[in-house]
Amino acid sequence: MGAGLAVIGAGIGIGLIGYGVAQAIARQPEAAGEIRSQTFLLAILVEGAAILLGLLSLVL
Amino acid sequence: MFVDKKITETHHAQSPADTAIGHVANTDHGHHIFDVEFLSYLSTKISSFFGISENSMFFINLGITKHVFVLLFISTLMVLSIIGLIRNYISHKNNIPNKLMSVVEMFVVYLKDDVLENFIGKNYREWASLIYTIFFFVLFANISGLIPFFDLLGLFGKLGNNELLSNLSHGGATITANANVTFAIATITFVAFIGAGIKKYGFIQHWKNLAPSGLAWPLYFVVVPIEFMGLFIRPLALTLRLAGNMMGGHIALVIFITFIFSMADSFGAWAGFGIAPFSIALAVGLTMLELLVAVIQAYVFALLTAVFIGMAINVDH
Repeated sequence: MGAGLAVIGAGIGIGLIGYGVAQAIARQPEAAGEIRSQTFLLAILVEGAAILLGLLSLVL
Repeated sequence: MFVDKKITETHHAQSPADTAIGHVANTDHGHHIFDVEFLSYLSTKISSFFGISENSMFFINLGITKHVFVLLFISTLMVLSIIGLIRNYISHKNNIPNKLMSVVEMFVVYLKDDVLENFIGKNYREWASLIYTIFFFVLFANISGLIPFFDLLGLFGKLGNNELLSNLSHGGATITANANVTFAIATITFVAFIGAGIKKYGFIQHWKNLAPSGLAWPLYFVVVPIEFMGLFIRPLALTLRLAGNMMGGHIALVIFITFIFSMADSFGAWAGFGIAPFSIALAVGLTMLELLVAVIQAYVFALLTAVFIGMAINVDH
């Protein structure tokens, strides 16, 4: 149950990031490299929270 | 091709969950794969110095368990192979990288362009060695977890009844699925990013840099505790991210395989045969995914280390 909720949250978060990235690259294709590395960072942070909660729900 | 009743019975004793845990977990602390007399002597001496009894949870155990063995093995392998490759490459006149060297070079150049220059800035050379070491160590550890050499050794051990080999069995050894290992690496990161700030700005100015200047004073009651908590959450998140990813992937992998045995247990051997193609196909696909995750997580660990060091160095307010 907790793991499912964590996945829903992370899914929405990463989806929003992906949406933003696709739009940003479409507008400025020359900045793709820079945008990609920023994306990685954001996606990692969102995913980190999800894993933390998933693990917590596994332990508790 | 006939599943004997005995095999299903021996698997009945261990539930799929037990098998999955045995796959990712370390061997018991009382269950060393090598018995080094000196180390167990040292463990008892150190523990009794701190007044910890033999049966306590906090007993300081220096014995070589499965994960410790793999940790030492991988570190040695990494140092020898990477240093050997690069020495070899540099010493040659014509500078044509061989196959392995071009893989290493690809990683090194990618990390330099994408991570070091972006997040640390012009003086990235100072921290490059730390970040490359973390990257290659995590990469080696993750990938070695996907090679089931311990299962093979364990199989031979069961056949020949060799004690050392059967101690090594039950599953591969992904040391990065052990939170203790990732916590150790995260501690290095923690020390590094605090050290980086102190080195650049001096002790007092570094701690002042953590909170942005120029806010209205009541806000500091909120900002300072948040920043202070963030300081400790960073290595914790690093630890749990890597350990959780590796452990999750491996547990899923083993559970897909143990579907076969649980089906055979509950509906007879033919159900096991029926489910086998599906669960093996899923497991193969998942292993491919795990290969990807192994590289991505190594990259992520290196990236976050660089980001934290960069945050301490490049204070822009």
